[in-house]
Amino acid sequence: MMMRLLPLPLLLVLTTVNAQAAMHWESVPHKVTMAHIRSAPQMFRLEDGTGASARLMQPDLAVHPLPLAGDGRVTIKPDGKEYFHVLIAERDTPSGHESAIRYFHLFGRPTGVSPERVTDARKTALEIVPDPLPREHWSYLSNHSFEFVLRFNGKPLADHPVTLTTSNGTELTLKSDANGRVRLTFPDDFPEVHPGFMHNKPAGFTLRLAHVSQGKRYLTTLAGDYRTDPAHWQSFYGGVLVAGGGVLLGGFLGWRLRRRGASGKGRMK
Amino acid sequence: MNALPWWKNLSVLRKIVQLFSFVFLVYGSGVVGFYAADKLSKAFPALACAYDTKTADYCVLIPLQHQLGHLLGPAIKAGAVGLMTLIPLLTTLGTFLLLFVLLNKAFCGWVCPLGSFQELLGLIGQKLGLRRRESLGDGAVDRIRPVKWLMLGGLVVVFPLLSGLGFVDHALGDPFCKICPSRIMTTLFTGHVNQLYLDTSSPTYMVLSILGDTLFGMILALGLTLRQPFCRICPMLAMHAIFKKIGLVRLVKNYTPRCEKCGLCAKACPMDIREIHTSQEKDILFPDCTLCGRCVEFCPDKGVMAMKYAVIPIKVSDPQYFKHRNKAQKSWENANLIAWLSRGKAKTAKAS
Repeated sequence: MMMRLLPLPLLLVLTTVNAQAAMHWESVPHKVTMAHIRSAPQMFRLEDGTGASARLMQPDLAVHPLPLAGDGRVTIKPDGKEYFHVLIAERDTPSGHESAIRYFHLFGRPTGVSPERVTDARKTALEIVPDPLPREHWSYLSNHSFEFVLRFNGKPLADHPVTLTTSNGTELTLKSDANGRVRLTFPDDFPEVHPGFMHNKPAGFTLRLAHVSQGKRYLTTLAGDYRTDPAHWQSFYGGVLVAGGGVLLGGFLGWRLRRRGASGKGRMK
Repeated sequence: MNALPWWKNLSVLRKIVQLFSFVFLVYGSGVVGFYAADKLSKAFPALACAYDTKTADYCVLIPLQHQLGHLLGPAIKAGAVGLMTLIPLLTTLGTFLLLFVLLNKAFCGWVCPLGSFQELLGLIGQKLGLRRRESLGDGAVDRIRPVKWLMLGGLVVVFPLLSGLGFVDHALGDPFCKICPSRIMTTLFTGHVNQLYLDTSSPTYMVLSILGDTLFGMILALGLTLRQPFCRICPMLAMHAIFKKIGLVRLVKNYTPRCEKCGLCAKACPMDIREIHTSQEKDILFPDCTLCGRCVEFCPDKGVMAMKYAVIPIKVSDPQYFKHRNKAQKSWENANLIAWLSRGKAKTAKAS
């Protein structure tokens, strides 16, 4: 409530400063060969997570405690359950409560539970919910917009600031609408872009949300990766031009076929 | 002679099913759910596209290419082909077959969004007066027929496998999807232009995007004047042909000597299958057939041709139906822009 009374520039500074200290999940890059893409474990690290406890929510909504290594690392081996898993970390602080969430995909057998139920499930009191998550064959992309819902105790947080920081150095603050919904356009902030998805490493992002309720300060983060906008090497107008060429070619072929038909050549007997 | 009620007209019924299928497959995520896990089968026997964010299901060719390219190829290369490699592939084929057995090749003629789109183009062409009545010549048909097998073998099986084995570029891991006109068509129908592009990231991607865009453009133009241009080379048609014996929908013929002189069935066929006219076999479900049922509709002899669901007849040729249907077809074909303009000109000339 107090934060809403602060002037916006000060609010932005405060949220940014607070956000930078916030606990969040980061992926740990490791090489996986194509042959082992389905069976390879995934590695993550909980940054600034001293004193936090972690757990894993599986695609069938089962939740298991997750032991953290000394440096906050966790290695998740494929558990045979397909689709979105959720890393959840929580800790109590002198002023309130902190949490960190990250969604990731593992191969396996379908569980019969819609990922919609995984995102809907209440994981922490304060939560940033991707709505929707980029499904299979899709990912978060720069220059593309994706929506998130800010929730506190399961209810949407309307008109509330949320801060984005990226590993490429961008920081920006957005506000939720009356339904607690935030539309985020990922910044096209990759310092170097090479043609092709395979030649560009994804960047990390963290969305940070703070909320004060009954004198208790809640802070949560949602982390993930986003990739370079393919428009850097895929031209829409080029595509239209080529398709236009195809129309002309098809028109010519059609005209030839009609002429052959009219002259009786190739007509069905 | 009373007009044929719409609910007795097989072509009208088919168009209603096509419209419903198109809407469901292109926009059906609102019904089944957004995520891949929510999809109907993820191995659908028609060209429903995973690139369409609103789709209700994915075409079987997508997981087939991915499993051959990302799973089987690398496993062969590593010498580690086991049950875990084969189970996803067998699950995909098994799911496809479970659905396929229900409708057989009718997935092409009644359900496929790209098939329906091409029929819509044909309808527009016909109403503009562009539609040619003649079928493709025998020589052209014979030359085109093997292309669907090359598309299935080369683009769906061989290139993904070679990509997984590391012999060809990774860009060839799912080459059919890269050139599939349904990818561009369905995404455009959902208001997304991100699949119509010229990709300059590598020579292979560039060639694939040029092929895909050109093919899409050609279908737009050819579809106005030629019946089902892409269906003739579609790898799904070839895949259906492999399993057509197990499908429950059948096309049967009771050959009579009158068939020799007729040939209306072959003329009605949008895929130019002349063998339905000449064949003396009972089973006339040929590899190119899309089970649209037009041959049965336009057969003028009682009980000579029939479409059956297992042993139950769905549609049997009938002279009365033929008379009505033929009349309806002629008046439908005569109602077009060029005929209307010609009639207007003739009236003006007569008046002056």
